Amino acid sequence: MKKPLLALMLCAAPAMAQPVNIEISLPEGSGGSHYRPYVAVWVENAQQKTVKTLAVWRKEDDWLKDMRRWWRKAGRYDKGELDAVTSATRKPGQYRLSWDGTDQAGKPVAAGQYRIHVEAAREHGSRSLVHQVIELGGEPARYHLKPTEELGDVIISTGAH
Amino acid sequence: MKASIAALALLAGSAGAHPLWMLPSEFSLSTDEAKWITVDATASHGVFSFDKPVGLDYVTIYNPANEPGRIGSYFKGQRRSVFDLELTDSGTYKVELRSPERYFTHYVVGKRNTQRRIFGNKQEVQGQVPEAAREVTTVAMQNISAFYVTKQGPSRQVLAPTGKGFELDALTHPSDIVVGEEAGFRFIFNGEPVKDLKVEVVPYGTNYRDDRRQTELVTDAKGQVYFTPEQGGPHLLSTGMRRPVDSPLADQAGVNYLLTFEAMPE
Repeated sequence: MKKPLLALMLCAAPAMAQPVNIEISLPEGSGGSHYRPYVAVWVENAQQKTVKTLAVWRKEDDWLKDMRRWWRKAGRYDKGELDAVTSATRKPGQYRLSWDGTDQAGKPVAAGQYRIHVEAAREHGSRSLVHQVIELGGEPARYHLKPTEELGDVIISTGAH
Repeated sequence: MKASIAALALLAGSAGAHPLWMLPSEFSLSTDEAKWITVDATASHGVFSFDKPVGLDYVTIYNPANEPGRIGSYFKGQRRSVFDLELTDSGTYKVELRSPERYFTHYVVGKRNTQRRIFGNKQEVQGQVPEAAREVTTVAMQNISAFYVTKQGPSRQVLAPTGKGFELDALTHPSDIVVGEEAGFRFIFNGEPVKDLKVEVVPYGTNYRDDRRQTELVTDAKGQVYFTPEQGGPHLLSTGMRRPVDSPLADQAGVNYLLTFEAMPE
């Protein structure tokens, strides 16, 4: 009797209480014709299956495929469901997102390891893909992902803050 | 005798023929509305290098519902042919060039075993082959080249084998081939697995590196090979087989098969 209850607590409790915060900075581009990057932020489980897309900053449909991993893992399957997290491309600056531990359908997911992915692709630019394994429902932790070609610092923190 | 027939069956196509391949501008599209892609087609020994233009009258386009259609007019230049293709439906299209069988007869003649080849099936070449000719063999050759292109999510209808002739039975969806992940291909002839088939895979850009980076594979008893791409971009998979046939027109059937696919970055 005890076991299922414990499992249930692990499943549902931490997710809602401890959102995963993701801070993303988009670097200043050089020159006058710097296109804004397309950016996708999403969560995959330990089997590398998409759990939830948190944000898609985009313009034309045509270039969504250039966020190659996000398009392959999530975008091409359920673009309709993603409309809710889709918004316009962003200027260079700091942005903050959070994951409440739910899946695409809004249901809390089990505690355990997940990978937070941030992918940016820019016309006349490069593609950058960074990811971080986090422990949902684990000890509070803070991760700093170093800047890449198209992404500035990415800071991911889990647990209470 | 048996060993030599087995060896013959493994020969990859005819040495003289230029492989004929197609290279689309895109393998994956993310638009909702219809979108055009453009396709290069050429016969060359290089991997994605242009050499000779080819006739494209035998190109068939299978839409995601697996309904066949023809390409429209196309451009035939000095070194390549080009056609454009509008993808209107969501899902996976198959584009395949499947030439009709062409017959040629080869033989050796004279003290030095000079190799000769003439075009024509067994009946057509009667009277043309010298009486002193030895090892007279007529081959029915077919060239097949194919690629798959997906708009929005991949679909599987076009992957269904017909059970006729030489076919790829895709274990991994061709629009799901990813760097660092194992992809499986199965080859069948008239629906039956083709075992001991030599399969070669070469990634794009041989001109710009010293190493061809080709991977050589051999199908197992189930007709399967597995390949893990190490770099992103287009890859050319080539294979071919010969096998004895019981036909009044030919002694052997031969197939050259080329698949262009994209390995997506991780």
